[in-house]
Amino acid sequence: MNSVFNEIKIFFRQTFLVAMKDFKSMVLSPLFFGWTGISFIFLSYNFPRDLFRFAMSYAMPVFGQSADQGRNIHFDVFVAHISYINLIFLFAVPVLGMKLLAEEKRNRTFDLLMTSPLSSLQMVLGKYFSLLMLLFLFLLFSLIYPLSTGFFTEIPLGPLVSSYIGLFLLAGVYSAVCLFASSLSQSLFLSAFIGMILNIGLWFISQQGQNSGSEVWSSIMDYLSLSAHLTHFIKGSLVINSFVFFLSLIIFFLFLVFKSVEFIRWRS
Amino acid sequence: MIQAKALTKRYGSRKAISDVSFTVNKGEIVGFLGPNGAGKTTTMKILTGYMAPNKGEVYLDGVNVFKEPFTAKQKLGYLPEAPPVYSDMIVEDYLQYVAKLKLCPKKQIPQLVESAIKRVGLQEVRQRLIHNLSKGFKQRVGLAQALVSDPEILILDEPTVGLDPKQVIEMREVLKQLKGQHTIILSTHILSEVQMTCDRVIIINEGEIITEESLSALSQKMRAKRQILLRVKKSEDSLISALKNIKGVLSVSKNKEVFTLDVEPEDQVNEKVAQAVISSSCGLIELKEQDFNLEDVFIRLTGKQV
Ligand SMILES: Nc1ncnc2c1ncn2[C@@H]1O[C@H](COP(=O)(O)OP(=O)(O)O)[C@@H](O)[C@H]1O
Ligand SMILES: [Mg+2]
Repeated sequence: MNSVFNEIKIFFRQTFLVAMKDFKSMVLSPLFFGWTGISFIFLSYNFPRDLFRFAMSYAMPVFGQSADQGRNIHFDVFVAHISYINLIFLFAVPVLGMKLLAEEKRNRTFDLLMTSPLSSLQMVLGKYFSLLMLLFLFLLFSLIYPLSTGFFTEIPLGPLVSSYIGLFLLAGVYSAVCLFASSLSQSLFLSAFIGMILNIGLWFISQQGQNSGSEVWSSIMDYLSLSAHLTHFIKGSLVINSFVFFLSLIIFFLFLVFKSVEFIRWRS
Repeated sequence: MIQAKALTKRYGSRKAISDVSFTVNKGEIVGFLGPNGAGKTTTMKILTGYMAPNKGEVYLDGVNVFKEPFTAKQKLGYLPEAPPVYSDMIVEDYLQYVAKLKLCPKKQIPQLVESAIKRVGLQEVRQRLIHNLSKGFKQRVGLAQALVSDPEILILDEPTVGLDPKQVIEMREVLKQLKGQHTIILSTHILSEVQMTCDRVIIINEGEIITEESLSALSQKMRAKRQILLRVKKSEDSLISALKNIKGVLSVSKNKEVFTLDVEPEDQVNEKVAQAVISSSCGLIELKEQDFNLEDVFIRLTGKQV
């Protein structure tokens, strides 16, 4: 009993050690500074603009429509904000995550990890959480924009929180995908490139179904579509289905990373 | 302490090593000698549990590396061909990280890091970013990394390769200091390196072990054939006969101003040869013992051409 407890403790300690090391190294890198800088300039340009438009349409309602009918700060402003962040993640996560395994391989620090008392699972999870923590930090900061509107209006907090949960899960999917891309080669460029292709592919997969006309096909595609599931979260309905969908995608890609590391151990 | 049993490893259809077996005893420092591509790195990666062999087993201190990797890897320090360092870390932080990774007890870590820094001579760079260190220092950080958990077993893959001559000498000094405190296997393709640092040598070629010898036995064999190289200012034929008359000189051949002498394995011969040249007024420029290269060793040990 005691030894099982001890093993679990060591499991978390090793995973956390790897995660913190990579998290620190990413947070302190110029890449992270540059990325957050540019992203926040982008958000700081768009968010006030959307907010202003929303306020204007409030003040000068379109003829024939009463002032607040069908108007909602969540759908008119926050959803745009969330889709900007999604757009940023789509392209930035592959770049942020490209180093995670590819550079370890290139610098032979991978040898250190492989010959330390560290299992493949601990390595994979540690790497994964380091990236996820980074994106969590980013999301936390990006919450400043919607929350700041609380000074002059009432925020629909429920849908906002559920949107952010959806966004975080989506970030989890991108992270797993990009960690997988990073596990495939020693090249940072290839890793980022493959990560982007996979992300964009996953994101736009539903577009195919919607155009195809077949109802069965389009409902399958709808189930596989990241955007459809994110929409559930944005609407404020915490659908179990969508939770399961995101989590299974994450687990699927982490499993691929795990296999990729194990492949080196057993076949090389 | 280290037991390799019938290791075979294929890359695709290509055999990198076949049926490699050897034992390294506690406290020994063993040289793993072979030319490039012989399979040294492959063998070491298997010893460390980096990758599994197609066949065979490895025991570190009696623990099977592939059945109980967690236990085995805690006994182990490994320096790969390139030092496994993170260039965006500070030397001290890096060593601390490695110590944690090796599951060293938390309380001992500051002390372990301190001792690794001292033993490898990193005091002056301990607060520097690894990125900014010279190649020699990076290699030393790599070695400190292998040492930091104070493991019973050290596996060092070509610890002096790629260093400049001064750094090589310094690195060998550090390696000699480690003698007796750990069980060490170090690979190299340089014969003299083994002679300088090791107790015993295991020679590998084309993926197969050719021989295992104590260093004294090896030197004995190698000494049976000794050559002296001699360079003079102006050569005269009279010198040849003078040299041939020296007791212990077996044969003399001449190529312009360079003479090559096959001699018997006694040290006094060098002295006598030097005297003969000086008294001959040919002008001694250089006299040195010919280093045996690996190829000579193979020819001597196997009677085969490599
Ligand atoms: N990852 C690999 N894939 C395919 N062949 C390899 C790989 N690594 C090494 N080899 C081959 O295996 C043989 C042994 O290589 P290695 O163990 O690196 O030798 P050494 O370290 O003695 O120079 C060489 O012929 C090399 O070309
Ligand atoms: Mg090698």
